[in-house]
Amino acid sequence: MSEYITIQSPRFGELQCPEDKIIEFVSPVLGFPNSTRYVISDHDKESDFKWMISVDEPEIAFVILDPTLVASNYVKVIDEHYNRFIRELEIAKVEDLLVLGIVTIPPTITMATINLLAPIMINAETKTAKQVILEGSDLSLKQPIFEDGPA
Amino acid sequence: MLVLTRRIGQSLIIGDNIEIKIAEVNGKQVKVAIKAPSEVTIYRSEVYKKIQAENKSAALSGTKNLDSLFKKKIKTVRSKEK
Repeated sequence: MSEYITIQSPRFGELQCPEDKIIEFVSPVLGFPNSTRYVISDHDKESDFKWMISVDEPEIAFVILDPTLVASNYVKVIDEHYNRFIRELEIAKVEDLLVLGIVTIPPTITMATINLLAPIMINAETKTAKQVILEGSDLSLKQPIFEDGPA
Repeated sequence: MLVLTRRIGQSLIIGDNIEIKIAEVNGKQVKVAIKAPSEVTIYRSEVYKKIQAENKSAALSGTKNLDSLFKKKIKTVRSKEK
């Protein structure tokens, strides 16, 4: 039986997070040194967007998205950096690697962008994670997500 | 801030396991070679600051209604633009 951690989120109210679902960042999301533990949850069955909610500071939440849905060639990008991912997160098998992009939502929602330059990589087996900067690439920090988004 | 002068080929040791060596100097450019344990992350500071700023603008601390975001269709591109 898994233990639960209760967090109070301004957006979601009281949340019960099973301890074994909590993702631990080995180095924090840049700019958020006090949040190392997060929980990832689907928005709903229909949506591709997910939430990444800080367990340590539950008022902080990010919307995240599979970057390959936005940039189809991102699969290749992940492949190119695969050796680094397995080294830094001790990934044992390819199925354990999960890569997600942080979504920035400006006041006009159609202008939302995804950060392809610094994705979140997760070892789904050990539940450890890290934000990696894919330096030297020409990946966008602000890749538009929607058709009617920024040009 | 500690300021030290080094020549090409000379290095600095920080702590017990980080070594920074001046590999090459070419006009205004300096090539630096860094030896550090793999758990130590090294970033160009301007990139680091850019990512930090983007993360901060992505973090949602309020309860702004985002229903229209979750209903929208995603645009897929083959080659990413800058």
